[in-house]
Amino acid sequence: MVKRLLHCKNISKKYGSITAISKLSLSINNGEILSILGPSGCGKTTLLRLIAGLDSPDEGYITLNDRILVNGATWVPPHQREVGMVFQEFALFPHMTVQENIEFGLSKLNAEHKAFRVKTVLDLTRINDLKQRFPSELSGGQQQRVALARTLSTQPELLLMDEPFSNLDAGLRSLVREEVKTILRDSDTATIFVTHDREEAFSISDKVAIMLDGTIHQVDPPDKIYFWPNTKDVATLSGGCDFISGKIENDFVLTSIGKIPIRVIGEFRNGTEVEIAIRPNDLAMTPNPSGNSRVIRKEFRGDDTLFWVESPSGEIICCKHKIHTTLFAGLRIDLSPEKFVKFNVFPK
Amino acid sequence: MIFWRSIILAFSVTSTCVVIAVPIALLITKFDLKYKRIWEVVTLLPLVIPSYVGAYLLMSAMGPKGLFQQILHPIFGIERMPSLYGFAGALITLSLLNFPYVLLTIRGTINQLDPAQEESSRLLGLNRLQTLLKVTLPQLRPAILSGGLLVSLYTLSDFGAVSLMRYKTFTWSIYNQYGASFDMNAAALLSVSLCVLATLVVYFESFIRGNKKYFNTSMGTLRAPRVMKLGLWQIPSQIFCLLLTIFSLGIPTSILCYWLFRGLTSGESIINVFESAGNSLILASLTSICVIAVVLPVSYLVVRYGGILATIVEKSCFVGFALPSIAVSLSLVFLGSRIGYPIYQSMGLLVFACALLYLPTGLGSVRSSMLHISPKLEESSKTLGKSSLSTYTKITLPLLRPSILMGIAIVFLVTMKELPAVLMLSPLDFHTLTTDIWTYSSEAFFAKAAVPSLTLLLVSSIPLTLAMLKSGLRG
Repeated sequence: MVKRLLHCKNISKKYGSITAISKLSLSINNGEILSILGPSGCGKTTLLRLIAGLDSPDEGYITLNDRILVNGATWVPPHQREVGMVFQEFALFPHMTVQENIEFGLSKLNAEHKAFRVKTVLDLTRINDLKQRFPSELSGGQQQRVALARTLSTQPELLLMDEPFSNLDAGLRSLVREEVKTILRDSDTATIFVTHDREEAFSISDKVAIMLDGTIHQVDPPDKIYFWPNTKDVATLSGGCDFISGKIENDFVLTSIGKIPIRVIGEFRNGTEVEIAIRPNDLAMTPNPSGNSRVIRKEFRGDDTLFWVESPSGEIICCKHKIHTTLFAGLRIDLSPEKFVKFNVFPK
Repeated sequence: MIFWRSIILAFSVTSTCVVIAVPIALLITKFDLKYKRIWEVVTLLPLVIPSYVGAYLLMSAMGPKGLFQQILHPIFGIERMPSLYGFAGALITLSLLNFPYVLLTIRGTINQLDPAQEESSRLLGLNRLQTLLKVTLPQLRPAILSGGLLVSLYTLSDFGAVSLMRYKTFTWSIYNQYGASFDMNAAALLSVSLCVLATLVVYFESFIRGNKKYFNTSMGTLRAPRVMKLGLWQIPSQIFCLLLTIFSLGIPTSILCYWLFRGLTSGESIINVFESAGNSLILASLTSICVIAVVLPVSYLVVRYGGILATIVEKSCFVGFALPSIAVSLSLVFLGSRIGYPIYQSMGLLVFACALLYLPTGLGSVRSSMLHISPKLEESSKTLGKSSLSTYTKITLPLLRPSILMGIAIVFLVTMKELPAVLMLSPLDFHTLTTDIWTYSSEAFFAKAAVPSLTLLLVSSIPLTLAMLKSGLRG
């Protein structure tokens, strides 16, 4: 049964005159993995710190399993919250071995239970061989797993991860990401994790929350965020996106590259000035000496090639194409919607 | 005029100390100097020699009719050595004994520098020497300045050496007004002027230091710094270290041993130092404990919370930094004699004075290492279910341990050496090693002063050496 685990309601936090979080509300259910995706400086880390109890909000309240963690009158200190946190820098204790680091949070257990818990997380994260080492003797990926093991060993009701993969190199990152996802699924731990990397957010989570300027703009499963963004900002943050303007005409928008089919019909009156969000895969390019658009730049990427195309009205649109030999900068082409693609429309 | 005399002496001593300490620090940390571990400890040990002991040894050795004259007389027929009294004597004594302060601050910083910066400089086309001059040294400037600040404040407040060398500075005049003529008003006026002067020095230091951060801000693990080869310079470097050690440590201790030997052979009764040594130990231990008890919460408050209150607390702890011990002692004498029992001439007041004087020394050491402990470690511990108190004892304290040890060692050492406060504030019949030395050496009973001096050197060098070896084992 799906049950609400964490609930943040109307929380705000200011540091001096800077507003980090404003009137933010967010919920997460048991066993769910939620990513908070947003540019740096949008308040993601502050939100985690408020949930963990490392800072307290100026207003609003947070509950965990219907227990109040913080509101105007109550404040539960971090060590009594049952919320675990993995830091961006891993924050392993340098004067303790891996085993001592993991045992650190288990001092209330008796020896037998403690040994069992330690063994469980060591197996789960596959770092049994490393338990006698000190953090300075570990690679980045290993430190990541120790940090995760240390936090999971306390069996927190909610796990928070702050940009956990950003300190790993690109090759290791996707590998560790898969591992972590498996570990979290196996231990059935509800997790909120913060990232500015959309691929990371999409691949690891059940739901993605788009955060901007201290507040959450949309919370939905990854595919819905990508295909049904609520606002232009969400569209831009959830993937490569360009905009061209036009006027509504029934099921279409009239633009300088022709008639474009729209996804949600009836939202705007005919004749309304709107903008259409265009993802790199949405438009087809056909070479045509008298075409309406012109290729201005080309970038070979391997699996595909990116083309920047100038529309008749001067908007620059990025398009992706598998074939790279027949198209080149300076060529005139026709831009037209790919088959079956419908477009999102936003008021201008 | 005593004002200029004090300033000129402070300036000259500070410059000399910097000139001595910078090359030594670089040799030890940046080059493959042989017998590094030995030099590391030995170059710090001059700190254990109190300035008045240094001064009396220099006088007894190099004075007009001193040991050297007696050795040289039969060979060269020299009747008198050139007089060392006055400026030259004070400068030599204070420089040779105080340069380790600069050494300490430089070495504290040099280990925090990111070797990648020097490597970048090499890749940008600068050679080793240019890198040293343009990249490393400029980054050491704050450390050199704060070490220099320590030296100039110690020089300004030094009482023993200048008075034995008969170089009339502020401290000498204050003590004379107070001791000889009991002119409290003149003594107070002079004290206030001295405090103003010392405060100006502190202000001057923070003015030229500017707002630059003392420490590397990156929290990543630093690789061990690369060591440069000395090559042909190995021998001159060894000679430099050796000469310095001979002058700052070798000659003083051998002269002490000589006096001891001469006293013993001429049948002079060896005075009993057990009681004074015990008193010194008690005073130094109590002071170290008090200082650390204040330093731990204050450094945590200042580094983790900041804010106006923390700043006020921090600044008030550094007051002792600018206050010469003779001025502090004098004011506490006034206070104590007004209130009388149970404060006046009590052990408590004496410990309070020493703790006040040496609080900044301990605070500086612990605070800078507190700055290097990432708050994330403490936050991690809290999210793992540990309360603030248990986080502090399990995470923060163990990580601070080397700097706490070093802080204790240094406070212990400077309190062992402290003279004016003990002279003026100690309970009746309370003798310490320093007062013994002072009593005998000011009346030129050099042989008698040798026993307490040697005891003092021995007792205070043990904790310093231990702390040095412990903190040297880092990384």
